[in-house]
Amino acid sequence: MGDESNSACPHCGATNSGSSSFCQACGKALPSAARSGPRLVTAADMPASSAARQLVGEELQKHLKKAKGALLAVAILQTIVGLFIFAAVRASASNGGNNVISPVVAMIVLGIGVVYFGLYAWARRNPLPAAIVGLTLYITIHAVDAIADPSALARGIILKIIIVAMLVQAIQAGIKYKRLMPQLQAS
Amino acid sequence: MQSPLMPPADLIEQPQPEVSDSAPRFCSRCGSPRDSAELECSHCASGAVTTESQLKEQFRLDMGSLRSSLFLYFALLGVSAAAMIWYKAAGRLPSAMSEFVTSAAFSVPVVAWCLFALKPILQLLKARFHAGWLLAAVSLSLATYLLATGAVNLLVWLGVEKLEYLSVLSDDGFGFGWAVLLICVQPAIFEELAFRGIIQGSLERFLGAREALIVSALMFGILHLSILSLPHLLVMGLVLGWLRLKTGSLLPGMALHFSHNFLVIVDEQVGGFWLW
Repeated sequence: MGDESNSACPHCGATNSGSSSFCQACGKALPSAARSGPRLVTAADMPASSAARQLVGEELQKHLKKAKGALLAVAILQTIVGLFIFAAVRASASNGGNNVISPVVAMIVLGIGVVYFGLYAWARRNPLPAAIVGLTLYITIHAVDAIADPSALARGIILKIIIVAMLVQAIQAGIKYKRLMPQLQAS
Repeated sequence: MQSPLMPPADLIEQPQPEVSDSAPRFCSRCGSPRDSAELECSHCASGAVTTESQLKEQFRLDMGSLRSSLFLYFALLGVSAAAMIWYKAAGRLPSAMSEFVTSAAFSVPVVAWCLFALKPILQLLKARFHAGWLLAAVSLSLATYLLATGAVNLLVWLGVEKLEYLSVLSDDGFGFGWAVLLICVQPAIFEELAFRGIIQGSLERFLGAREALIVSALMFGILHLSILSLPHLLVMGLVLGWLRLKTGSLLPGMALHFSHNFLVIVDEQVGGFWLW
């Protein structure tokens, strides 16, 4: 489980984890022997020492990076694709006549990129809600896109699945970040 | 007001590990008594999750709540998608009957989710609030309606085609009353149950009231699948969510939603108010 062996309270007999100073069932102090064992400092523990604080801080940063990173990745990808489409529009326009691709498509794709840059900015302060909106928006857009143009779904499907997985991970990271923050602030 | 939502469907089968099993009656850091419902010890402010397993449990519950709201959203998205595919395959525009069917289909996931979270939803429906809030809701609907028609008129001026809601029904011989049922009553009830009831409530468990409000409003706006309507839908979603927070009830929001949609179809029926 990660904790060192649980010990029994000498007063009431309840089992407490080895890192407890007081019995959680009766509130009486646990003998110092219960506390003197090797203390496994994980990020889940209350950061009582500066070393532990640093561990929690690092774990927080890790989660934050994951969440932000996914949104930034989508933003950059949308921008690249948007610019690509835009270039294609320009090319087909200069070829004269047949504008197969409407510039509106390029604008929409770029617009979505802008939205994701916005979500990235939000995530830097508050990763969880931004990640949730990011996932919702992404799946919605591509579901509608796939219905309007089924061939679009096949194009880059693997990349899309990877992005969805990244966004789900971003949300999980966001939740962990949210739950860890009070730990850092409490001490 | 935080309404603790019942454990979401996918957790119900498992014997829900009572939080009090692992939540202590005394703080392990300072020995003072603590409320097992509180996340922090009020004396030494040490976080509740002092063990890896408690953190994991919290995470599991959070993910459960999140999954609940996301799955409802995607279920509703699925209904919209199915409708679009149906219309595309049929190769013709929707008829009144198809609109009724779609509307009913939309209600199914909402009802299903509400049955799983019956207690908190009933709480939201039975909560008492000052009658003045209903008046406030209707007044606010005037504002949201003006915002919506202003936005639509701007788009029309820019060359975008205006959406018509009534012709589908009237073309097939259904009168204004049916329009009220389909366009005002059904969305008011079921969209409020879904977004302000289930989704905002579930998100509140781990996001906090304000963020849950913003995210649920965004999801509300996005689900309507209309980039151009998004701004005024977002504002409406925020107002609706705010009403739920302020009153602890879904009813004022339902009143606003009904009233807003009613104004829109009356406007369409009458051929445009002089205001805009």
